[in-house]
This record gives sequence, C-alpha cells and structure tokens, in this order.
Amino acid sequence: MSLVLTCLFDQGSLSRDSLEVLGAGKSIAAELGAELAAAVVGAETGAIGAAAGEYGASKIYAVQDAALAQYYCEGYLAALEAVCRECEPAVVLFVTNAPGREMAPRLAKRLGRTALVDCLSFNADKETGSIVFTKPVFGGKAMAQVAMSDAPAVVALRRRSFEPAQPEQAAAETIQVKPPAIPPNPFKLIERVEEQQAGVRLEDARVVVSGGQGLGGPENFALLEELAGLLGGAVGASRVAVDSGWVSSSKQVGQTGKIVAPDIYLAVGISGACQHLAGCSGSKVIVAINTDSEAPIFGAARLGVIGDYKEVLPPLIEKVKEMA
Amino acid sequence: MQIMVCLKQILDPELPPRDFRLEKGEMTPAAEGVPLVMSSFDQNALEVGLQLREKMAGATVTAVTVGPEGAEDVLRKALAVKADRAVRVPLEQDSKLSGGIVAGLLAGAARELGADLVLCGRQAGDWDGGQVGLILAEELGWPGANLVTGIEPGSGGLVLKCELDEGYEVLEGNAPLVAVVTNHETNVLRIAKVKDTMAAMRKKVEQINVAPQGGRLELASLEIPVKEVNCEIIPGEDGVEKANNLFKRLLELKVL
Amino acid sequence: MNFELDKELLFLKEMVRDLVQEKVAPRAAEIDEQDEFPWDIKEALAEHEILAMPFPEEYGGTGGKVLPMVIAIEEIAKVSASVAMIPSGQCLGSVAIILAGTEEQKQRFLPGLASGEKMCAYGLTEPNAGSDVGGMQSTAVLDGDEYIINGTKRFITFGNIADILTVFAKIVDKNTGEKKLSCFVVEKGEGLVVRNLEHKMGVKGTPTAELFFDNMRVPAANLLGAEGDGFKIAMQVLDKTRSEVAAQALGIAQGALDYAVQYARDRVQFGSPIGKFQAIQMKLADMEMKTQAARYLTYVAADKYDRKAHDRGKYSAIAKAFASDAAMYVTTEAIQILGGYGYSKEYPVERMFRDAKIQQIYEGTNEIQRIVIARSLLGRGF
Repeated sequence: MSLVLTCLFDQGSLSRDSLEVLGAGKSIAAELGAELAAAVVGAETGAIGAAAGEYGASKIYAVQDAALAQYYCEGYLAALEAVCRECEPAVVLFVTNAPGREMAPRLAKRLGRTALVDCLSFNADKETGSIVFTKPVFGGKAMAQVAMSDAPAVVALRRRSFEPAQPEQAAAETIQVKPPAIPPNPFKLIERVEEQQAGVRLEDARVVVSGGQGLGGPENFALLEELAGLLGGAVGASRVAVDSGWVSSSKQVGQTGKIVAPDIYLAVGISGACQHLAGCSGSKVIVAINTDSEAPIFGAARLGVIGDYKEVLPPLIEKVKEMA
Repeated sequence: MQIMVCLKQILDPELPPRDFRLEKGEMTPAAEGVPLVMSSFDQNALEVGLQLREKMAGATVTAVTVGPEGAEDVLRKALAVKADRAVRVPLEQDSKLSGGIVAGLLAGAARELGADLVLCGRQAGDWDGGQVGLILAEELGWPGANLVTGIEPGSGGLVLKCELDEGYEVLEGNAPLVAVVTNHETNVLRIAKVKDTMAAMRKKVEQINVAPQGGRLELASLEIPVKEVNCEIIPGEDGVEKANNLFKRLLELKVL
Repeated sequence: MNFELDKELLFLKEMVRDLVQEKVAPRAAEIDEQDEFPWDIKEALAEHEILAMPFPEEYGGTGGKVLPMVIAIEEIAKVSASVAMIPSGQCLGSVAIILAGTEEQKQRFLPGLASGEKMCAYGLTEPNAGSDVGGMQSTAVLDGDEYIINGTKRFITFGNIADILTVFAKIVDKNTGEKKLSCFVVEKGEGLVVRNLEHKMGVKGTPTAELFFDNMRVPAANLLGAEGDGFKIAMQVLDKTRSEVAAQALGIAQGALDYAVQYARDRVQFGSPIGKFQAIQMKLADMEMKTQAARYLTYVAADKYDRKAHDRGKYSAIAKAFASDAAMYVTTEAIQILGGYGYSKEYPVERMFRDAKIQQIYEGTNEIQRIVIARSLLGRGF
C-alpha cells in the first residue's frame, strides 16, 4: 500500500500545525486508499511518535539522534531524506511554516521532484494515483491547480486550511531510521529571540484587530491594542506597517506573514491588497474601517465603516467595556 | 566578496483584482498594458546586498536576472542604485511555476561568476513559488539560510538575521552560502538618484548562457476565483453612531 | 522617428514616481492645509538630485536639459503642485545666471543651488508691473563698485527663503537719466526686506513674498550680462521655464483625471457605476483628449528647447497656454464628476482645481502667451 508521509518537528506535544497536517494526510490517504505515516525527528521521538499514532498514523518513521535535538535544516533534511528513501512515500506533507517552507523545496530537489508550497486544497484520483493540489498565485488573484502524478508529491499546506486530525488510535508501528550521515549545522546560532506574545497568539485569536497604512505611525496601534485586549484578541498589521517599522514583523498578516481565521477580523486603515487578504480571508466576518470608500478592502469585507478610525474605535471600545 | 543578487521581472502585483485577466485559452495572466516591475522580495534582497557591500571593503554586487531581453529593465534598476554589474541569463518567457529551471540557470551563473554569496527574494510576486533560493542552495551544495532580513560581516564570517514564526534568530555562517530574503523595515530598497537613474541606461548588461535543466511542475489549470462579497456599509452620522451600529451588527451576527 | 519616451526618461519617470509616492503623497493634503513650506521634502528632492536637474554638470547639476525636468515635474505635480514648484522655482531663479552669467559668476552661484543647499528666486514682477515688464519701477544706481537698488517686487515665489535672487531693475544713469533694464544676482542681506506673504488660492506651502529693496547695495560684479540686457534675459528665461509650467499644469490635469476615472469606476448611482453613463464618458473623453494633447505639446516644447530649435519660443508659449487651460478644464470637470465629494476638502480634486488656476497666470499670462504665438505667425511689426 502506498504511503502518505507527514513530517512532524514538534518537541513535547503535537502543535496545531502538526494536527492539521495529520488531518490532511488522513484525508489524502483515505482518497488514495493509502496508509498514513508520520516522520518524527529529534533527540527523543518516542512521545511525538506515540502522539502521531493516537491521531491516526499507522507507521511512525523515527529518526532519533542527539545531534537533532534542535531543528536545523541540513540535519533534518538528511533525516527526512533517509526516511523517504526507506519508505518511498507517494506523498510527503509539510505545513507552510518556517521549517516547512525551507524543507519542502529542498527535500523535493533531493528526491528529484519539485515541491508545491502553500496549498489550500487537493483532489485525489484513486485510479491514477494522481493528486491535483490547488495553490493561490498572483497574490491570491488566481488559483493554480497542479497535477502531481510522479511520486513522491512533495507539498507544503497552508495553515488553517485543513481540518486538524481527530484522536483515532491506530495500531502504530514504529520504524527506526538511521540516516547514513547527519551533517553538522553549517550555521552557528548566536542568538534566538522569541517574541513574548502577551495574551493570545495571533493565529489562535478569535478576534484580530489589524492596522495598516492609515494608522500613520506606531503610536496609533495603542488604540488597537486596547480594543484587542478587551475582546481577548490579538493585534495584526499589514506589510506596509511592518516595513515602516511601526510594529514587529511577527504581527504581519498576509500571504507571507501569518494566516489567521478569527471570528472577527477588524481591518483598520488597511487598503486591502490581495497579499494581505490572503492572510485573513478565512475570517468569519471581516470588518473594514477606512476613510477611503474606494479602498479594495471594501470589496472583501462583510461589514464596512467609511470613517476615521480615531473617531470610530474609541466609542466602540466604550461599548465593549459596557458589555463586559 | 562577490555578492550575486537574483532579480525577477514580473507583472505588477499591485494591479487591482478587477483589472486582472487571464490570456484567452492560455494559463497565464494577460500581460498587455500591465506594467512590469521588479518582484518586491527581490528588491529587499538587493537592498540587503547593497548594505552588506557598504560594510565590506572590496565587495561587489552583481545583479542577475533570468529572462528575455525585456527583463534587463530590472537590471538597469539595480544599476541605478549602484549595483556593480548586471548579467542576464537568457530564457524566453516561460514563467509558470518554473522555479526548478530558473534555479538551475542561476546556479550556472553563480558558478561562472564565482559568486561567494547569492541572495534571492523569498518568493516571486507572480507565481509565489517560494522555491528558487532553496533549490539553488541544493544545486550549489551550499548552506542556505531562509527568511533573512539582514546580513553583516562578522568576526567569523557572515552574520545573518533570520525571521522565525515568532521572533528572529541570529546565525553566523561562512561564504559561500545562499540567503533567501524576506521584507523588513530595514531592507526597503533605496530610491535612486537622478544621475544614476539616467546613466543606468548607458551601462553594459552582460550575458551568460546556461543550458536549461531542472524540473518544473505541470500546471493543470489556472482560474480566477469568483468572489461573492457584498459589503454592508454601516450607517452613521459620526464616529459614535457608526461605532454603535457596528457593535449592534456584530452582536446580531453572533461573532461578538 | 519615435514618438515614445526614451527608456532613459521612462526610468527617470519611474524613479520620481517612487520618490513622490514615498515622500510627497502622504503629505500633499497636509501641505495644502497648513500652508507651510515642506523643508523635509525639499531635502529629499535635493538628496535625490531633483534640484540639480536645471544645472549643467560642471556646476554640480545633472545636465540642465528641459525634457527630463518636464518629466520629473509632471510626476511630482500629479500628487502635489506645491511640491512641484520647488524644482520649478529653483530653475526659474537660476536660469538667468546659467544663460547670461560669466564663468566666474556661474562658479560662484550655481553649485550651491545645484546641491539644494541654497534656494533661489526670480525677482521680476512688481505691484505695478506684471505683464508690462518694461513698466517696472525698481532702480539701480551705480555708486563706486556697487549698485544701489531700490524698489518693490511682488508675488515672488520663495522670495522669503531664497538665498540668491535674480532681480530686475532699471539702471539709472546719474547724468542723463537714461534707464536701462538690467538683471542682477542679489544675495540675501542688508537692505532686502521681506514683507507680506500672500494668502493664495492655491499652491499653498509655496511661500510667495513681497520684497522691499531699501538702498540695498549689490556688487557691480553681480550684474548679469551688460547694462540694458535685462529684457532680453527675462524673455530668454521664460522661454526655458514655460515648458516647466506646462509640465506642472500637465501633472495637475493627469492627477485629477486619474482620480476622476477611479471614481467613475467605483461610484454607484441608480444601480450602476457612473462611468457607464454617457454624460460621464463624454466628460472623461474630453478631459483625456486635452490632457494627452497637453502632454505632447509640452514634451515637444521641451525637446525643441533642448535642440535649440528656432521656434522653441513659440512652442513653449503654446505648451504653457494649452496645458494650463487644459488643467483648468480637467480639474473643473473632475470636481463635477465627483459631485458633492468633489467640493469637499476631504477629496483632493478641489485642491488640484485651486492649484491649476495660477498656471494660467504666472510666468506670462495666457493672454501674453497668445500674443507671443500670434506675433510668431504674423512676423515683425504686429
């Protein structure tokens, strides 16, 4: 039976990204009549391997080595390459997060293929074993469908586009894989700065209040922070705000930033370029607040307020405080 | 230190969606009348290269593009901001998801130029492939750093600042290496000056021929999704009224 | 024969557009509202060598050709006519030196202007002498190796911030009383009093001053050309700068037209974007025809000047009159297309309308331009 291989890099417990890739993997495997497998890499892979089994993977390919305690591209690539040569999967799945973006194209190249990054959906044909993946192109103005019929199809899935896997105990078999060599990290880590997100993480927030060019400067983000805080949400930003240095890049929502799908996405002073919309189009309700009635955001939003956010947000904040 | 920066010429991604059309019967966007620009992440890569050159005595920046003669315009833009050399690897326009082929051609150019550092944008603003820089690292057999926002010379080689999903890390590595660049407030491409802009037209663009090889993906279809959105404009005479009406509506929609 | 702009000029256009989008667009409305000179934008223009464009390379300029200046000014004026006045004014105030100065004078005055370190102004107009240049009353009397200048100038763009001014006054012969209209380079200093900045209808943020010369002593070495060359120099200056005024008008027209087109695509009335209504389409077509005609007349006038064509004077008059009339027409129609919104200061077209009007008046009223054109057809004696 052919294999759908999901690549998991978590330490400790399965992240939401991993659950999404397992969920997607399960669906593809079902369509192809294939088996769901997981590749787990690290210094200690037992826990993650077991967890993957609890979420439907029937084969766990584990590459366990002290040198792989922390993620680094060259080492993890060697591990995954070894796994792929061992199990010859039909499909290899990543999530389009930082490691996935890096690994998918490089692993594909090593396996003589070309990867497809940032896929939204798929359509599998059991007869031919071919899968067609859909990926947004031209900043989201068009959808490309790519037929991947040569094994392995190496794909990185867009976050928040696939249903996370449900717990489902399968009889998971663990296969230890030893790569012929684990190259050392060619880069030396000097410093790693993890942003301490006060409050909710942007990708998990049910409410996102996002600011763009219309804010004019960093100080005006305080208003957005206040509203987000009251609603138990998070603050996001457009690329313009990030490039202008008004907020840190970790707040960038968009095709090359964070993909969010909250209940409410409040776009404040954001014109609505496609690349930005790509990051928030999964939101339940997009609300646009902008003085420019011609701004493209009004073509994508469910609710629109044509006005100055400085006049609209403070009374809105008052209403929210009243509600509490 | 020879810094090679890879630049792609693309149809202007700022084209509003309502003006975006596909070529009849072809799986490509209609190009007529659409301005051609340098892909934005490549602009960031160029700025990173220029800033690094300023900090390293004897370093040079070579702008390279893969494409037809018209693509030389992006090289001229690089020359206008004082890149040292401009090189085109000829390839007749065939852009669909051809990252694998382009990476192969760029690798050939890098070898012929004797580049020490290759900079690429993280993805092109048209096909959004996100491949070239990474495949290039594989082709050349060099270390590759992803989502780089800035590079400086360090005591032990090059110091690269890289974006993580939450935060950033600072790495040190030795040339030769490939850096895939993403946008940051510190790497917005500078604007040229008048004299350099006009002189760019008169400078020489070199050509390096490389035999195409490498893989590509097969495009099954290309469609413009039909979007049904009707935006409901919240009424109100002033900010207070608009805010109240918005609040009410959000409650009605059960999202608050 | 190629009627398209050279690649070189297209790159220049794009570069100026990028600069304008970054530095000018965010401030255009504010500059108009606050009516204050944007020093920071002037610095940015200097840094990117826009202010060096009027000057030959040997004095720190980028060449001094008119067509590239026209391209640059048009791009700036699309977004802010006030900011477009900065390079335009820097040219107007210095051309006399470039055309009539000695090598020594050029070396002394031009580099500081080309770098943008110093600003300049053109001191021709007086309260009682606008179109009637010959009727000016300012005087200059030789005293030793200095001229003593007395008089009043009005409507002098950048008169209050200029470090260097090219001023016109009549040299009075102490013995014969004969008057010779001449041109001087005046450096800001004692005897030059700035009074009354105008409160203008448009091009706000461009200070326009009244200058009072009170026994101001100017070195005789600052005389441009010979005594009595003043009128000739004044006309030569205007021959060159008229194309730049045309470029400003052209930019204003194009900016207003672009805005109106966008609006017509988006604004829905009676269930349809108003761009579908013939009434609007007729207006837009007329606006486009006039703007394109203005464009090519302006480019041709600039090109003729650069080629030293014998009919460059006529063409610059044609371009200036036509483009400024076109700008007035286009901005008026743009307001009409926007309806109530066009009348509101929240939208830029009313500012463009106010900025357009002056283009029909200064640097030779459109009536004077028509006389220049007519005379070029009819010949001497008319």
